[in-house]
Amino acid sequence: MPAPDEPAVDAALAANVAHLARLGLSDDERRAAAAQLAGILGHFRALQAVDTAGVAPLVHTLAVPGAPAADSVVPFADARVRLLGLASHAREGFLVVPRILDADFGPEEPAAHADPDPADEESPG
Amino acid sequence: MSRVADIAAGVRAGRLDPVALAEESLARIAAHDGRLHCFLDVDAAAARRRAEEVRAQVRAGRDPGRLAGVPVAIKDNIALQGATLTCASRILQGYRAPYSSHVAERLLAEGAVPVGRTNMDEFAMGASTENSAFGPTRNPWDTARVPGGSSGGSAAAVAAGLVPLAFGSETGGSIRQPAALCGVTGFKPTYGAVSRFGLVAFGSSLDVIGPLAADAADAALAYDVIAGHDPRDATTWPGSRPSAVAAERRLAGLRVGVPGEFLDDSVDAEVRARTHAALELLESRGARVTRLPLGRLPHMDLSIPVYYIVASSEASSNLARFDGVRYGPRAQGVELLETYLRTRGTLFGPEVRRRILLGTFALSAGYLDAWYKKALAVRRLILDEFLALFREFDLLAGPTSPFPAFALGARTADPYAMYLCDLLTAPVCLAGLPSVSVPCGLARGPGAPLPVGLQLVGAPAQDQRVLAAAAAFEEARGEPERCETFRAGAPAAAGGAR
Repeated sequence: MPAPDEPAVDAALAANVAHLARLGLSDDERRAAAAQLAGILGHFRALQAVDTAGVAPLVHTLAVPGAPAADSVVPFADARVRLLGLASHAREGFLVVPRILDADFGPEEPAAHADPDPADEESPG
Repeated sequence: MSRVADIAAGVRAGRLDPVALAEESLARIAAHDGRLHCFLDVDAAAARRRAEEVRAQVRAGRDPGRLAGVPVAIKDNIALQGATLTCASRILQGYRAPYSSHVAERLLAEGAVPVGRTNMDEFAMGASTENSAFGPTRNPWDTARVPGGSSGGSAAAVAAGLVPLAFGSETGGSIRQPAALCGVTGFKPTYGAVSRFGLVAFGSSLDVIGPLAADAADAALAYDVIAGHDPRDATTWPGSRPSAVAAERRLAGLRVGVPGEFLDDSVDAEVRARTHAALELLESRGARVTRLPLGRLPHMDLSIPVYYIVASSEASSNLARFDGVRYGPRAQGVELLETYLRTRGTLFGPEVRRRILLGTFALSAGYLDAWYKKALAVRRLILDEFLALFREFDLLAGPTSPFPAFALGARTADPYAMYLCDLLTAPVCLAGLPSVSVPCGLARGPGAPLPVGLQLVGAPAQDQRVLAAAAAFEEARGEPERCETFRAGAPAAAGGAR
């Protein structure tokens, strides 16, 4: 059972969390997610009973302090070609995404290519 | 000398042909992987080219290195330039690594021959390899059972003799637990001992890469090759560290603590029996074994909630990058937001979605203090309790997994039942400690006998001590029972008999 000051994990909360996580779920999936999340948190609720007053959160366990990386430029040959070649939608040297500023132009033409030619930074589009 | 070292020595001396070794491994994979599904991708042409390079080095009088000609399998979340890097996820289907991880660079620099990419739970989230989007791996000891996970493909490939050496990653038990369930040796280094550069991030404060091998001597050699400072991972320790291969293998006088929490009633009776027998063997060789009552690790029973909240929170942030724009396929929507929702909602599998939701929840406004920060505070209590034990003991010992390999499908209906697989490994990960799982006998039940793993846990940065103790234990134990099903006609040099 949830603590008195904590709202139940219901479909609305699951929907909000799914939106924050940018996970598109159907109504059925949201209901199932809420039930599973509630079940898992129910098992985890013993955590709340631990007295952690004065205990600093542990954010890493480094046995030996690490060394910050040097602030330097590292060459990565043909970066644009190699990295754009990994995207499913690329054109004229750029990643292609649906418009976000003016939706009146309608949907982007899908320009998927399964096996881009790394020699050609312009993907078929 | 270990069998991996034997292979490398033979190649360096010109007695073994690296191309023949690669062909033997590829032939064994071709013969058996249809049943086991250890591999997501096998690039035979690349393996042959690589083996020919090593052969050319030898013929030119150059030393290819400590892993000369050794066929290796690498988990499909550790980047090797040009090879697949799918993390067993549809969201990275077809993706190939544009650069190599530090670990892959080290392996190539020492003459290793990568033969394939091993199966895993999607994004390393799971304990059975059943969460792979491309189908589960099967345990070579009993193909109706799971190999453990998430590095189940790597563990099963070594157990079946398809390769002599494999690499996996561990966040909550993903090297040691499959090693235990498949009857091989798996080592999780101290957090920060091995670079995470080129490892697809899951839980960044926990993730470590480590070897799975036939024995601790092989694991020590592999560890010596991959460990060390990497300026591209600021969490790796600068400076040199002691060699695990050269560390003295001595059990006499070793102070071994056995926390009661490692052997409570939740542990299977056969697993407890094999563990007690292993502890008696340690004692017989002069180790000072102290069986501790319950209460020395009073917060260990909260390791599952702490681990799943911390790791899932970190995963929810790390996996935000998979949105169908920069990598992998896309489920196109009319608008960008819809594209994100459709891509992530349909191409991540159920367990990955579940953990992203759990992590996003724990980090969200109104719940951050109650869940995420609470978990971090309890994580500190768990670490402090371990460190207190290491003021009295050189090593801690106990079973690796609470139970032997379970049937495919037995734990998939209830996520929490699967999470309990990490009961004895997750606390060690939360504390960032080095730990090895070594085979310590077989659990006898109604079906086929199943391997049991003993885990030895060391103080921070005592990796070489853990591996040396494991090697000494293995020497005292003698050659373990191996799974013979897939070894018929095994080529001697590529993972068969010594």
